[in-house]
Amino acid sequence: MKKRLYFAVTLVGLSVLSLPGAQTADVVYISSQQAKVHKEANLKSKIVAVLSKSDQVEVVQQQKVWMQVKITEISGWISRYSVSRAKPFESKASIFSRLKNFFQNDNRRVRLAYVSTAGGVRDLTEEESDAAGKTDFKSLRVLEDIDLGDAEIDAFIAGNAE
Amino acid sequence: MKFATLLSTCLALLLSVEPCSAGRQRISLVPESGTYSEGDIEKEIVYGREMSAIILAERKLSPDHGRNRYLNLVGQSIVRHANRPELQFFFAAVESDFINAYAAPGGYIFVTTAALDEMRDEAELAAVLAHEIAHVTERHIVKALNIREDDDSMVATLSKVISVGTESAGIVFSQVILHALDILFSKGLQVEDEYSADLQGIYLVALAGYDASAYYRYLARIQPLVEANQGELSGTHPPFAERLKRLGSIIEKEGFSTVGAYKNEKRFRAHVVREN
Repeated sequence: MKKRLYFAVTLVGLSVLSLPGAQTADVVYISSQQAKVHKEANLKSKIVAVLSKSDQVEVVQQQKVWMQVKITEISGWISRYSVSRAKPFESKASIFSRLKNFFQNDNRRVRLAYVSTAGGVRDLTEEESDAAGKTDFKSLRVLEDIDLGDAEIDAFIAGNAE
Repeated sequence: MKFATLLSTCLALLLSVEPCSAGRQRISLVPESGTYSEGDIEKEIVYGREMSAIILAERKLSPDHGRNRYLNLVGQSIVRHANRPELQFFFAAVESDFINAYAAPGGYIFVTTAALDEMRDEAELAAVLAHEIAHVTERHIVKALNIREDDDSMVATLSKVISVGTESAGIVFSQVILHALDILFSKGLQVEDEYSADLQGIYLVALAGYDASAYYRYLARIQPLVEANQGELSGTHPPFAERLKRLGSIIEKEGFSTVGAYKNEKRFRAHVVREN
């Protein structure tokens, strides 16, 4: 009987150790441009550190939208909306820029690559699709050409003075 | 105690244990950003872009370039606090008498001129944009339609959703776009997705330093107008009363009324308000 008791207790112990988060650290990455680390789980509390995109942090616990994290000796709370499980992509513009090049230079080809060869409007260029009245890629390109640099956004944010 | 009873008791105890002990909780709420491949993201952008071109054919892009540039500055100041750094977000005003805003996958966000007319300051605009940004960061349409790199998976989803009996990727593409537009303009997303966007939006606004009660003010103002006209917003979103109740509760709980007081009414008026 004793042997069986030991077996059951060992089984439970091993299983608990293998549960997610019980043994290995939960690690997430900062995926917003910056993340302020607060002393407590609210925005009014003192800021103890500011983390940058791609910084790796260990999760201690989570309370709704707040996540307590540890970075070396510092511990504090960040918004869960600032993190992701995997390391974020390095350049925000890289994926779109690559696509934009296709959209501008050979959008029929890129559409075929994504859309296969079903025919109809999907085989049209953006201009031909616009001419058919189904789309307005011309206006979309005007929108996509609004290119704000970091300096302009910084200046705009600095103007939050009212 | 018999061995079988002992073992089952132990297993029952084991199953009742939280995965993270001693004050630790599950972190299943951690957004999945980054677990998607570059191919998934490319596809999301292509679909969102096609949707946006159709939206702009239906609701014309506002010709006021200065105002659209301003919308992008406000939007980008919110995006800095969001967790999709791989996306290039775009913001624009579209001509429409409906009070509404739309988010297409990939980061294309539109707000109607009627909605802008009802806003009183930059914080309210930021709040509306933040709600839409949240739909993109949480991939609500992407998940609803399973827009991933794997076409077979998408075909399977669509077969269930709209009974498409073909495996032609081209037809599926077209059907996905139509279904996504149907979600935006008539059916709406899942109610929980809207509440989730409300919650994330209010935090994004607060993190950016704006008056976080702005969204509450805006929704309370448009509630009678939208409910009286039964516009597209009332058909695609949960009831205003419930949304306001939840937002009010968050604002009070987090003390948001005392955090981040920027409203920027003057700057908003200078860029958005049209003199009649």
